[in-house]
This record gives sequence, structure tokens and C-alpha cells, in this order.
Amino acid sequence: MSSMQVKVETLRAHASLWESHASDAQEAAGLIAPAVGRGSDFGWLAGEAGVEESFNAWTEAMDQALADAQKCCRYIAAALTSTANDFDTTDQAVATDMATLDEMI
Amino acid sequence: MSDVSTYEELCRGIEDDLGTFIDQINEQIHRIASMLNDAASGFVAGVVDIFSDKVDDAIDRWNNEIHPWIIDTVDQVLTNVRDALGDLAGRPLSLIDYANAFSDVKARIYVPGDLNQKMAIFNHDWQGYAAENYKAVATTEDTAFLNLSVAMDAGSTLAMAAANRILTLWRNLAKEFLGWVGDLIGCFEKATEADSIISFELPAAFDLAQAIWNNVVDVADIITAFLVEQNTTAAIAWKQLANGSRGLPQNRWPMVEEANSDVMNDPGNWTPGG
Repeated sequence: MSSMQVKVETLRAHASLWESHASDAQEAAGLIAPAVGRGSDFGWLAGEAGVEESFNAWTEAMDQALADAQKCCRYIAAALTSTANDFDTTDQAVATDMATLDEMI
Repeated sequence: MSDVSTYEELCRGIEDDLGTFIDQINEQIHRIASMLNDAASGFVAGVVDIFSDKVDDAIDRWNNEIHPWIIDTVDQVLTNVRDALGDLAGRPLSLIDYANAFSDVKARIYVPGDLNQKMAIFNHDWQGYAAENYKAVATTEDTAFLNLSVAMDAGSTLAMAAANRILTLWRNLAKEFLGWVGDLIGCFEKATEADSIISFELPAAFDLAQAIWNNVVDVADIITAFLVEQNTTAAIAWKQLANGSRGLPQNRWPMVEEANSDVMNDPGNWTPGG
């Protein structure tokens, strides 16, 4: 493996890292899904204390954050893979164009 | 009902107690109805001749006032207890599930040092404008995962604490409930003859219903103690999570900036390192 190929593999390793983060974020979203907006489970009185409202706001925000995290991580992975493909002369055809990458975020 | 350790056990225990309560009330209703029927049919020697009007009055009173009142009162007790169980103080078992889910997410979403180690090699292999932009973006995203895991940890701790408080509260409710049942049943055990039906004072019975309701209110007081905690430490902690002053700043995931992405997406900006 040439020195350049090693460097390209480093880009791919990082792309893989962000793909893995995206999958983790997706799985996390699935794990917290049953809790999202379920502040009423703290009971009516706790709801009066504002716990229900805060819990719902927080879980909904976390749900959105995990969705955005997936989007960002997949974008970074695609950008790194595209760069790696661009440097990898044997795989020029699969480099992703900038317009496509821009649409991911 | 014995001590409970889970919400399901508590619900099952109270439902069992409610069932016993209904059985005991029905037993008293049948006993009083039989007593009045026996009196009306002369089964109780001497009663029908001397007190027939009194028995008729007692039967009327039983049918038109006391029996409907019992049914209504029992319905109130059952409704109050079930409302308290279901809605007043939450569903701790669900909260425990949520706490476990948050804890799982915390463990899964962020591995300390993971990116730093990979960056050591990256820094050797890649330099230049795009590499610097990637490092900035990667650090921002990695920090966001760290912050999100901190938020999940806090959410897990808070949800578990609330669940434990609610379970404790339910144990108190279960103890209170046993007292109410005895009070209401005792009221009807005194009705042993037609006279006592006629003299049966509904206002006194209503007082008893009020006492039972007050017991429910007492439970609400216990819940209020829980509420005070929710209003102070817990409410503040949840609010900090909700407004993003704790955990993920502003509760917004840092999106990759357009300028950074443009630099990263241009192959000409990537410079292989030494």
C-alpha cells in the first residue's frame, strides 16, 4: 500500500467513525422515543410543578438533536468518503459532487 | 396489603383491597336486605304484627335512600382511589424505563478519547485548509456528543429519583387505604334491625364519606410533599435541561456550517501530510 493509499485509508477510517456515530444517534433516538412527550407520566401534581412541561420540552429537543446529529454525522462521513474517492485514482467515479453533499445538511 | 416494591405490585395490591372492600360492602347490603325481607315476611317472630309499618318504612328508606347512597359512596371511593393511583402521582414504572433508556444512550453515545486517538493519526496524514476545517467540525460534533451524554445522565438520574419518590408515596397510599375501608364497613355493621335502618342517619354517613374523602386529601398532602420536591430541586433541574443551560447548550445540535462544508468538500483544499 502506497503512502497516499494509507492517507486515503485514514480518511475512510474517519468516515467510518462518523457513520458509526450516526448509527449510534439513530439507535439512541429509538431508545428515547417511548419517553418523548411523556411528561404526564410524572403525574398530575408534578405536572403542576412544571416538571411535565420541562420533561416534554427536553425530550422533544433531544429527539430533534439526535435527528440533527445523524444528519451531521452522515454528512461528514459522506464528505470524507468523497474526498477519499477523489484521491483514490481507482475510484474517481464514486466521488460525490459538492451539490449533493450540500443537500445533506 | 404488604410492602410493595414495584408499581405493578402496588396497583395489584390496591385492586385486591378494592375487591375485598366491594365484597364486604356487598355482604353488608345482602345482610341488611335479608334482615328487612325476613322482618317483612314475619320470619322474625312478632316483628311483623307489631312493627309492620316500621318495617315498610325501613324497606322504603333502604330502597330509596340508603342503598343508592351506599352505591354512590362506594363509587366515589373507588373513583378517588383509582384516580389517585392512575393520574395523581404518575407512572413510576414508565419513568424507570425512561431512566434506563437515558442511561443506555449516555453509555452508547459518547466514548471519551475516541476521537482524540484517531485525530493523532489524521493530523499526521492530512494538513491544510480542509483538514483544519474538518478538525474544527469534528471537535464541535464530538463535544456535542459529550454534552448530550451529560444531559442523558442527568435525565436518567432525575427520572429514577422521581420514580422512587412516587413508589414511596404509593406505599403510604396503600397504608392509608386500609383505614378507609374499615371505617365505611363499620358504618353498616350497626344496621342490625329495622329500627336502626329508620334511625340510620345519612348526615352521619355523609360525614363518614367526607372523612373518607379527607383521607384521600391526606394522601394528596403526602403527594404535595412529593410536589414540593418536584417544585424545587427536581423542577429546577428539569428546567435546566429543558432550556439547555445544562447538557447540550441551547438544546440545539451544532449543525455543520456551510462555510466549513464548502472547504471540506473541495478536494483542492486537502493536503496530504508528511
